[in-house]
Amino acid sequence: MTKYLLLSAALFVIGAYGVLGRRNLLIVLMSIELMLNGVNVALVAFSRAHQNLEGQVFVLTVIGVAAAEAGVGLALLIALFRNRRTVDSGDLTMLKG
Amino acid sequence: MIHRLKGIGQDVLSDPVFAACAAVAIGAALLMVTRRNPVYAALWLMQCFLAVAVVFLKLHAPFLAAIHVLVYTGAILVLFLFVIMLLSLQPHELGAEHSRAARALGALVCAGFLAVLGAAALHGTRGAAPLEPLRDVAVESGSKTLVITAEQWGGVEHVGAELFSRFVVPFEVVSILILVAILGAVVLAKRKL
Amino acid sequence: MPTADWSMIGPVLAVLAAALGMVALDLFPRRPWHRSAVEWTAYLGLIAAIALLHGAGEPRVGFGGALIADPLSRFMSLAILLATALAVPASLPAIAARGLLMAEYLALLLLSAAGMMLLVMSHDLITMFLSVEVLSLALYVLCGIARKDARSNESAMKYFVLGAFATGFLLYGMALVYGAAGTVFLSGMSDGIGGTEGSVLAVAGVSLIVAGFAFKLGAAPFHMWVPDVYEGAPTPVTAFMSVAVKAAGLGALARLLVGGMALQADAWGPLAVFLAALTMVVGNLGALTQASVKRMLAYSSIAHSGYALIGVASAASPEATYAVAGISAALFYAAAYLVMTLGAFVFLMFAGRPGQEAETYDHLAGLARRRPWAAALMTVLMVSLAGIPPTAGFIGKFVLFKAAVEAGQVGLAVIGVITSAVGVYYYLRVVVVMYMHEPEEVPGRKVEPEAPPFDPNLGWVVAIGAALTLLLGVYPTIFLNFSRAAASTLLP
Repeated sequence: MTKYLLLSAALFVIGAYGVLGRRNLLIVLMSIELMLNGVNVALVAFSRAHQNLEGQVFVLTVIGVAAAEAGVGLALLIALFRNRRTVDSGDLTMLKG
Repeated sequence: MIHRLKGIGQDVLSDPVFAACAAVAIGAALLMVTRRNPVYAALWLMQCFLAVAVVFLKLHAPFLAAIHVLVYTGAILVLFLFVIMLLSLQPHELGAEHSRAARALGALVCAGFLAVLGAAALHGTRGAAPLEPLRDVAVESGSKTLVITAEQWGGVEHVGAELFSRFVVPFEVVSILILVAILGAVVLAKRKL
Repeated sequence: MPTADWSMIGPVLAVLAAALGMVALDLFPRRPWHRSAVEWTAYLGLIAAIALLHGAGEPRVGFGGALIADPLSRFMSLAILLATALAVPASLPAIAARGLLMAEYLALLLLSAAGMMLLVMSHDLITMFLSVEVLSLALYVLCGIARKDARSNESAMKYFVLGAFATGFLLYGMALVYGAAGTVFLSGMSDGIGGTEGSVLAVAGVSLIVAGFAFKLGAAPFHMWVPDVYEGAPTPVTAFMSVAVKAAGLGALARLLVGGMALQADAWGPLAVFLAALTMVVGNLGALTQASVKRMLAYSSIAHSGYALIGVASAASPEATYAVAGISAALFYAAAYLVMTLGAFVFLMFAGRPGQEAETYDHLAGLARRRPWAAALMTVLMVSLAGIPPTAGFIGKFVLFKAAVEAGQVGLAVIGVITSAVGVYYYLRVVVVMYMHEPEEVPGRKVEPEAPPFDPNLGWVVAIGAALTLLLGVYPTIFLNFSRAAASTLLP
């Protein structure tokens, strides 16, 4: 059981590094998908350990969420790219105090 | 702590399928977050998703494993590749990266996360003890009661019976979510309205 | 199929139907009455939803345990519907001035409201997570809906990336709590967490969930996105999201922590205390140094999240009466905050001209002479935000600090009082600028004595906000009773 949770934590944290450590927004969006994917492993493992299907149903909805987030995130990226010709989060500096 | 980790290590090695899948998944994930070209990153991400789908099979989730491959690699990653092609970024448009120091700081923060989550995993579960064998369960489905045996666990019938009985509200909320995503994507990205 | 209790979700269905109706109306060829048809569909849906909110006071769990209808969900749904009903007329001038897509804009606004109502009704982790996603995704799009405007793009992209990152942590927390309890349903969750292993997972899980919700509420140290996103988003969207998300998030957090994980109060209580204290300090100090009124209000909304979290922190008390008092105070404060902040953001449009909103303090200089009524309404709102009687802000802070002292959180009450005193400075600065300063000639900005027409609807929204602020300040009893009823049915 623990090995599955450790795999889940590793994938989640690698995804978190992608969000924090990269500036290319395409990679950042992929890293967010990786984080959700890491959680899925934990949910399926808990579902198996508790012998109820609630975790698997949760994963099914998380897959839907991941698809919806990818769609909206990429649409935002396209809108941003059309106006600013950049996919670099370091260029997002118009709003400052 | 060390003792526990040793036990887990032996457990992983005694299960070659899991060991291989975990190694591929983690390796592909690391390669994904470090690639400069987003096309390579997307392909490594696909590799990672496929390895995770095999882990799902080992955890008695055959239906989820299939859906996972279909949606993640079939829909989400294709969408990513499609957008990468649409933008057709030139090498100089890929943007700068964070400085080495900033990336090291990010990695350090993430190592901290991993330590916390890993400690929770080590102390929150029963280590290397094998999972109990699956018991038969009875699932209410409409007027009749289905008996799900260990072989049928996590199959289409089982997931369907649960999804359309106790979990019908989450299922419907996903449809609202997808409606929002469709509206949003059209509003934001359509060139002419 | 569990028995469907349709009356429970009537309000949500009405809002959803209106959203779908508006999008469907867009399919027909344009007629002159098209815009008003869309507008009235929205109002009709909201009125129907408010009418369907009534019902007996007893909490009812339905749909296989996924949803609950109780005084808490009704209180928060009413607040959310009120915010939506005020955001619709506030949005119309901005839609017209910036050439936005009206039907899609309003449909997303209503879909977001539906997500918020589902969030305060959700009684299992899956529905809760999905509702958070529905409301967040709709808001990401609304922030970026002015897609030709680079500031709007940037605001939406920042909100999306950080929001999705926070969602990941929220989800991981929910997974760990499910692992600890063996169930995703809130009923029986606390009892399901047993043994040392279970409690380790539960502590880790509840911490991550609190962090995820703290992000949605804009609480420090997860507040970095708030000023940028609020500044860049179209102002009516800012007005809506600054109040409605907080109301919904607070309701869900209270239900999850107090209703679902009461036995784990040792774990989440100290976290809530830390978040509340830090948020009050960071929000108020940040607001002090802003030159833009919109950014000042953004930092002020951070600070007010901190005040509301005092109530959650007090609710960790093992004494049931103190827990009820804490949650009840937080709910009342959310309602008070809603009317005053929504009014203040809409005022920024009202005080400007079409397509040119008031943003900095200089833009407001001498406004009292040009628009005496507008300045008077803003004065009421600022006085209330500063927490001076006889306004909603004062009563809200009073009940919160009282609940905190009774629950033994004297330190939080002291920080609250000191930071409120700091707040008086920057809120009353707006009033001073409006009444005492002469309008300056700002280069590139013509100050014309004959102000071009502004939409009178905006004035009504600000006036309703100010009137409700006074109402809640002068006759708070009805609302306090309502929030107390909502809090007391929450305890298991």
